[in-house]
This record gives sequence, C-alpha cells and structure tokens, in this order.
Amino acid sequence: MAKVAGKSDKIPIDAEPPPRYDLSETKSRTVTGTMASVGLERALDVLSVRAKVLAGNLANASTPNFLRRDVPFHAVMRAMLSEPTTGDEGRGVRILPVQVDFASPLRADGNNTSPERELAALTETALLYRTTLQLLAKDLSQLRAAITEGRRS
Amino acid sequence: MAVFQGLEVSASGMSAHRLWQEVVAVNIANAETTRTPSGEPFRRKLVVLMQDGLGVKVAAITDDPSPFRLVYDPSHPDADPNGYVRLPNVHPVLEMVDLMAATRGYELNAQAFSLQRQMLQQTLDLLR
Amino acid sequence: MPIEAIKGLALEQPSEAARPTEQVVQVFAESLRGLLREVETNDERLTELKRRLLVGEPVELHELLLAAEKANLSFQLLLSVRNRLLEAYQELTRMPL
Repeated sequence: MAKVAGKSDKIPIDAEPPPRYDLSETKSRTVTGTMASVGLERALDVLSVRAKVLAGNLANASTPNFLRRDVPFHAVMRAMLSEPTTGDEGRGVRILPVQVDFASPLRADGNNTSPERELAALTETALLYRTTLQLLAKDLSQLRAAITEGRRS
Repeated sequence: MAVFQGLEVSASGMSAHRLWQEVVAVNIANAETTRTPSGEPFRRKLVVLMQDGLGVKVAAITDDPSPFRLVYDPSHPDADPNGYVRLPNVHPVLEMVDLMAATRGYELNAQAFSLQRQMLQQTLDLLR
Repeated sequence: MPIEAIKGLALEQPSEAARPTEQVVQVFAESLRGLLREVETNDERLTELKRRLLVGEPVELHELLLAAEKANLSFQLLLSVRNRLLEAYQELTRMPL
C-alpha cells in the first residue's frame, strides 16, 4: 500500500506509443540552404521535438507504468550531417526516432522517469536550442549583408 | 496548435499534479472524519494518473479500498456495539510523502513550461 | 648624336616608375589573397565547431561563439575592402582621359 503513494496502480488501458515526427517534406534546396545552415535548421527541428518529449516525461513523472521516451539528438545529427545536401536522395533520417527507454531502472510503481534527469536534459536541450538559434541568426545576417553588399539602406 | 504542443504538455503536468495535491490535502483534512454524509467514515481518495498524448491527465479519483482503522473507544459517538470506532484509512505520514511528491511534480512541470516558453520566445525574437 | 642620348633617357624613365607600382600591386594582391584565405579558414573552422556541437563531440561554447564572431568580422572586412575597391575602380573609369 505504501508504495502506491496516493495513486492507483491500475495499468492504463491504452499506453500511448511515442508520436511520429515526419521530416520528409522539409529542407530541400533553397537559397539559404548552405551546408552549415541546413544542419542548424535540422538541429532546431530535432531539439524542439526532444523538448516536447522530455516535457512529456516530466508530465508523466508520477504516472504508473509509464516508460520514459527520448530522442538521441547527437546520433540523429550525425546521421543527418553525413547525408549529401544536394538533391533529395539519401535523406536518411525521415522519421525522427522517438525511442521508448527500456533501459532505465523501474521504480516501484513501474515508472522509470527520473525527474531530475528529465529536467537536466530539458535544460541542456533549451541551451543547445538557443546556441543553434544564435548561430543561425548570424548566418542569416551574414547572408543578408552579402546580398545588400553591406549597404544599410 | 502544434507550435505550443510542448507548453500544453507541461500545462497538463502542472494540472494533474495540482489536482493530486488537492486530493492529498482532502485526505489529510479528513484523517479523523468518522462520519460522512453516506454514514460511513471518510475513505482515502486516490488519483488515477494516465498518459494523454504526450502529456498526462487524471483519469479518475477513486477510493482506496484498504480497510478502515479500528480503534477501541466506547465513549466515541460513532463507536459500534463492541466499542470500536472505524477511523479513515488515512496515514498522515504517507499523505505528507505524497504531498511532497505532488508538489515536486508540479514545480518540475512549471520549470519545464518556463524553459519551453523561453525557447519559443527566443525563436520569435529571431524574426525581429 | 645628343638626340639618341635623350631618347635613351626617355625610354628608361617609365620602367623606373613602373617597378614600384608593380611592387605595390603585388603587395596589395597578396594581402587581398591573404584576407580571402583567412575568411575561408575562419569559415571552415566555424563549420567544424558547429558540427562538433551538433554531433556531441567536445567543444567549448566560448570557442564556438568566438569563432562565429571572428568569421563574421573577417567576412565583413572582406566585404568592405571589396566595396572600396569597386568604388575606386568606378571612379577610375569615370575619369576623363
């Protein structure tokens, strides 16, 4: 009884599978699609998905039998950056891998989230997001300078 | 809107944990209630937390089926013929532990909300 | 004949004057090339650091942001130099001859 801690330990009827995020329709050749900035744009996609997933872990921090999810950001970026950026063939990562974590230890209520860990990961994600955003902003402003030839008018 | 999905998820986390807090508070307040409108002693309440998309919801608030506490006190107005009083199946210490967990959960979700709001704000600033 | 002597002198003078100009042009072209190379190097370095950030390899945040600033500044310098050169060239072509 004590371990139930104020919640019913009934197993939820429809444990939801992780959502699918499809990247296929984005990021073809564009004016702004230089090698460096395409990587940054994709990074922002992945990071914002990761943030949602981690937020979901935190929301379900007390839900019995809930297994945490995550997105292996660095592995995904490695896969994305090794693709050719010209043309549409070889776009390896079409569906973002939101993975259920079967490895982390289970608590007594069947939940394997660790609130501190989720928050740390989310903080890291937010920081990476901000850094990437700033780098992208710099790229774009440099492109703008090149286009306007440095003229302010 | 999908743009704000992450915020909604954290909001659901805050709601659910807040509701859990309130239920625990009700339990604590009624730890000694021997008579409810139904005539029975107060029964401890539980929240059923369930996944809802990426987020969470309180699917139901149910009764804890564990037995009432029996205390011998013949002078008590609600004592049974044998002199025993049925007290609620609420243990204050356990409720305090729950309260801390619910509060912590609420705070963590609030932080998650704040972090995600920052991310959105920074993105908007980029457009300026 | 004295005329041949004068002719000889006249022919020599332009080449005397031409050598310093050539040198100046050489020096300037070299420094311009150097600037171009620097912009390219800075950009390559920045791309590498960005890649490391995204892929999870070790990179210091300050290193990254400084490299970004450096790359941007050297590019802007190049842009400025290019604009000045263009202006100068246009001014030259406008000169009545």
